[in-house]
Amino acid sequence: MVRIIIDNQTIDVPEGSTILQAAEKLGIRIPTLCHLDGCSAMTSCYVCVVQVEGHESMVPSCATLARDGMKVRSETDDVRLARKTAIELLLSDHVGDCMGPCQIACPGGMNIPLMLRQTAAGDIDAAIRTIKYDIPLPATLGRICPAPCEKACRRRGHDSAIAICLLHKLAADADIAGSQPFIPECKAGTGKRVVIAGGGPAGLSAAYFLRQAGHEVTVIDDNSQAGGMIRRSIPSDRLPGKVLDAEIAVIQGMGVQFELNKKVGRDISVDQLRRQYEAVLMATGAVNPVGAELLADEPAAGVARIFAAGAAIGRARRLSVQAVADGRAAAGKIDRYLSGQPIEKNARRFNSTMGRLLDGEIDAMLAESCLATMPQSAEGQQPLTPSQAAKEAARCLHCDCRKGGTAEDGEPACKLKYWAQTYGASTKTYKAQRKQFEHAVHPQVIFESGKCIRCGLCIEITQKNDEPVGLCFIGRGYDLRVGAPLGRSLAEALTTCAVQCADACPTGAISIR
Amino acid sequence: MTIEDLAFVHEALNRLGRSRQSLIPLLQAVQEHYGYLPAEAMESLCRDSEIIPADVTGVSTFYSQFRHVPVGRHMISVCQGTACHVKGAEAIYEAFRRELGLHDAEDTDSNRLFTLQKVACLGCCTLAPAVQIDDVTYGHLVPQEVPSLLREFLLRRPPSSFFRRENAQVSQSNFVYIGMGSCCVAKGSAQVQEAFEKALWRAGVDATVKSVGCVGMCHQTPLVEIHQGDRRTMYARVEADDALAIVRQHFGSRGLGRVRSFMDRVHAVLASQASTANEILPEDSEVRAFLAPQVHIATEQSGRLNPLDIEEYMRHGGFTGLKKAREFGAHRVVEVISASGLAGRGGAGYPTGQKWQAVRTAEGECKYAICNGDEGDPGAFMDRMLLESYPYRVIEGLAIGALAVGAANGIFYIRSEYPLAVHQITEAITNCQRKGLLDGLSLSVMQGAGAFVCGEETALIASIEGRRGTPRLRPPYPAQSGLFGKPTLVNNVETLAMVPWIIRNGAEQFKAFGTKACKGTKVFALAGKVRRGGLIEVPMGTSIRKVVEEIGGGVDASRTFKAVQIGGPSGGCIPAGGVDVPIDYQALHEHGAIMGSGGLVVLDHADCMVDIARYFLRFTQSQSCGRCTFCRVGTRRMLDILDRLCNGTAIEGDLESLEQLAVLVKKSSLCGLGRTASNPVLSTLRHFGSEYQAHLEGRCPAKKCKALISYNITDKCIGCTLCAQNCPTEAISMQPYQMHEIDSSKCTRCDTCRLVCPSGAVEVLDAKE
Repeated sequence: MVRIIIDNQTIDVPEGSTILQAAEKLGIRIPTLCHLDGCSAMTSCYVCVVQVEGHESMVPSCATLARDGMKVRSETDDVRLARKTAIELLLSDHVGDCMGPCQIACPGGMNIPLMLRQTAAGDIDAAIRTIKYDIPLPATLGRICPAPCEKACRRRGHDSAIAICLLHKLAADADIAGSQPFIPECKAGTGKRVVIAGGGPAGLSAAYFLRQAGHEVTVIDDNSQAGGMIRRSIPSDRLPGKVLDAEIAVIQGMGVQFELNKKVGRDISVDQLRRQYEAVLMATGAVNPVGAELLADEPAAGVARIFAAGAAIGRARRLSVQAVADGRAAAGKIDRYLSGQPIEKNARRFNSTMGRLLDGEIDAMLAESCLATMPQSAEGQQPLTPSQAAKEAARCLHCDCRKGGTAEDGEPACKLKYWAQTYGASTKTYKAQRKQFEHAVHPQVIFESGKCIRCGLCIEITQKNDEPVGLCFIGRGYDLRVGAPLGRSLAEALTTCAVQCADACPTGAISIR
Repeated sequence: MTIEDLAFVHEALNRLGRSRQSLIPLLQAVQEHYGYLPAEAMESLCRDSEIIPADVTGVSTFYSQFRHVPVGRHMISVCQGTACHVKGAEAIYEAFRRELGLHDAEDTDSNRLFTLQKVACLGCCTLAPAVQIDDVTYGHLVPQEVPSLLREFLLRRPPSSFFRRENAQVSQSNFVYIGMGSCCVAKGSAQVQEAFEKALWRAGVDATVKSVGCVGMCHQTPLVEIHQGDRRTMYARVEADDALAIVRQHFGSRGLGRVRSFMDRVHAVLASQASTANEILPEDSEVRAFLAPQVHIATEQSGRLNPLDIEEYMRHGGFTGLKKAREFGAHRVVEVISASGLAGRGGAGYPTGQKWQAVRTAEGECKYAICNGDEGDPGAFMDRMLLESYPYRVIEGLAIGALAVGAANGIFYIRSEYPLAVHQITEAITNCQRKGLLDGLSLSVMQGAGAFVCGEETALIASIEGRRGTPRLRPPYPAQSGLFGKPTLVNNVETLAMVPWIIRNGAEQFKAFGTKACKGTKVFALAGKVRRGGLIEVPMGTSIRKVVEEIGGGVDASRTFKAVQIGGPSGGCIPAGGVDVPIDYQALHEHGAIMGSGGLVVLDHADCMVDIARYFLRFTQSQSCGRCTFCRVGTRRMLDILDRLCNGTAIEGDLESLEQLAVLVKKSSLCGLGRTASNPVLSTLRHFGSEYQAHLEGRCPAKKCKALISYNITDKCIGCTLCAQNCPTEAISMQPYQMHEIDSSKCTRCDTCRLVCPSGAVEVLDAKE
């Protein structure tokens, strides 16, 4: 055994243990990218550096053995700067998007490429789960959303954008037409009660997400039916009332209480609400100025805090989907407030983007896509057959990263993204001319070399699996890359261990199709 | 490719082996045969060996020696060494591109006659700028000579079978010594040797022509020394045509008139009647200044020995060190080396005795001893010269090291850019084996394949194992786990060349030279803007001033000495004001430089320090193995900033960003390459910060950075039209007897007009003026 001190904590570890292993035992989490249990120490990423007393330089904790009496510091400013710089250097050489341009453009932040892949595979159940992860009223929005996602679609510059809005409407329609529409899972009850004044898109959205977080939710609306402005101002041939009803029924089915024909300020005062509930959300739309006035109020001790969303705080939302997003953001704040966390910051999702395509890159992007143009009926807003829908969805270029993850609070499978987010790394610190985007397709996986951090894990895995061709490093220095040798295809290089490589890859460079 | 065409691959496999370890020699053989690595040959190689495609591509794309596309009939290699860089290698390269009509990424002309490439330092720094076409080296080139050079190369007579006098008596009193180091050969010493053989035959003179190793006076090559009994006469810059006249001057009476005219032209140095090399008192003050401050340990018998004459080496005490070492036994040998204070001459300065002790005491039956001859620093050619001129000494050093650590196998790893060194060592090993001097020690030679990082010991070991030359984290050190996981001693050429002397003369004698902390001598390659470049050996502690001003003769009177770059891409620049610093590991470190392997490049006022920093960083950047983030990407981002500074596109905050990144790359890289890559940047930032500031503002004070300068012709112009005739881009139109003008939209700032102008009428201005 050797005794080592990390951040003033002492621990005994067996001889031959690394600093990283010792830190793990102490519950100190050191970031790593190129480290994988069972593989040799790659000492490539240098994100796991620590300072060892008596050493001028930083050492990679993944490969430096703990020695008796060694004093290690893993959280100094210098260490943080070195780690952040390592991440930023990797980001400066990172060609690819965490999120597709469509997802960034979508105010609701829907994971559109994933939904399209599921649609293309004919898995409508999965598609609706993806849609409803972010969008509470997809059948409704599918009829009225001006679809900023389609304006951002990269394929638009090649032939035409994917009919995203139509496809997500199709999935949503199929869902509500079915016998058991999808109902998202709600967490165990927290016992906290939230009241939402206003049953328009913002209020409904907030209710949908708050309920999922396990809170008891009541929606108060002065009309006889929930739906707000979109029910009243949109002609029913464009948005039939029964579509909205069906989607509200799902929210009801989740356990949200509706108190209709009840007006805040007339039938019940805000003060009453504040006494009866732990949190109040004003989502009353532009017609009710109460919210804006109340927002200035400092919540008194012992009474509910008041939140506001949508037009209630003067943000006139032209797009219903934006109101939906506002409702979700308010839900996030209320949830954090109720669980005692700081409420103000809605963490910005980290995103690496490669921006405009360079010459020839559209060809790489098309490698995995259906080359056909949009089916006639999609343009004409005629109903698509399931096979037409699948074909249309298969036109997606998959600009997104399949390891980018969806959960805002969860760790994305891409470790680079996770640690970039954690260390507040910026993609803009080091300006550089970016390399060409590449996209190679294997029956099981895709390989996007621009996202590779050259750790070599996949190469070692092909060696361990005795691949007859294998992967290898090609070139050296800044031009170093990973690829199949002697001009072979990815399929020849990875005959048995493609999935294993995708699982080992710390970024989205190799990912499951 | 047909089956017959691939027969060579099978032959190579049979000859060199089918294991992964043989991969690099196999690829070298295939390339030697086909001129490149044909895909069919690679497939065939994989089919018939344990080597898999991933090995082939991984290794063949790592080493820059290997080519994957066919090349032209002749290969033009433009040296990118430091001395060549400061003497205009880029302009030479551009001149070749123009002359061959190469566009964009093309490297081979349309007739597939020539392929043009940039290569790491050829080690002919005193001939800068230097170019190699196939095996012929040309030095001191100027851009406007490039067209005639190519013509001359194509017209050159095929190498005649070397002329030898039949039945010549081997004279024991009359000798003609001819320097045959690479620098000498590049300047035509082989032809000079042939001419002397013929001249002696024609004159019927009984004298022995003897090729000897490097004298170190590379600025005077080719050198010829005539020995008549004890009388010695040295001739410098000798041409083949001079041979007969010199022979008649010394050994016959005819043809004096011709000799007189020749004597006017060359430096002739009359040596005294001295009987030993150390006592030579040359009349020529220049030679005296060059030689007097030197102490020859690694270069003992400098210019006296025929490199491959083993008897001669033994007559001068050769192999008595090894004999003595055998009498001492391993323990005492390590004690002597430890006591001598010898430290690794490859750059890091690790105590040699400690290293030997670590390998000696490491557990294991099988151990290896490796001589690191992968000298790759641009601007350094000490190891090349030692291997070429004193192969037996280096072999003896390695044999003593192997004996001390208990290794039965010794390997010389020599870069392939040094064919003469490879040849000499290979021959010398054969001669040693034939004489039974090695006592069971098995020695072999492995050629590098063009990767600077292989100078790092763990990368070197990976390379010998047939893998990509990627360094790994130490510990474990090679002393514990080296080649094939066995305890391994890795020593630099120069370190080993010191060893026989130390064993023969004792630790005390060695310690007598040097400073308190640094013992013995150090060999330096002195080049750049210095009057007398060459290879020198001086005691540790000698001041840089003494080296540059006394030995090197300072810079030309028309120029101003600005700085010395020491330690190559891992080192730094010491400004003219700081040259009193002694050569000592610690003192140099305090000045932001390092001893490095011993390249000393002198810079003058026309050298831009930002450009110098960029030059070195571009080098390390191109040589990074790519394993760790800071070296692979960090050095590139630093280079991006330096590029912006030199291109006039730098932005606010670039200098701060550069410095911060430089410090982080230094602290957080895996191996020595990355950890020292920042040194040229940090030392120039420290000593020449104002030049960086000027670049940030879009000015290059040295008027070197092309994007920041413009050319102008002043009224000193005499209308001779030379500038217009030589301008490669027709930016100057011919106007006899009138003042010429430069069309700056066409001007590429190649500097040719300024170089050819006889009246100094071409001036360089800030582009902003």
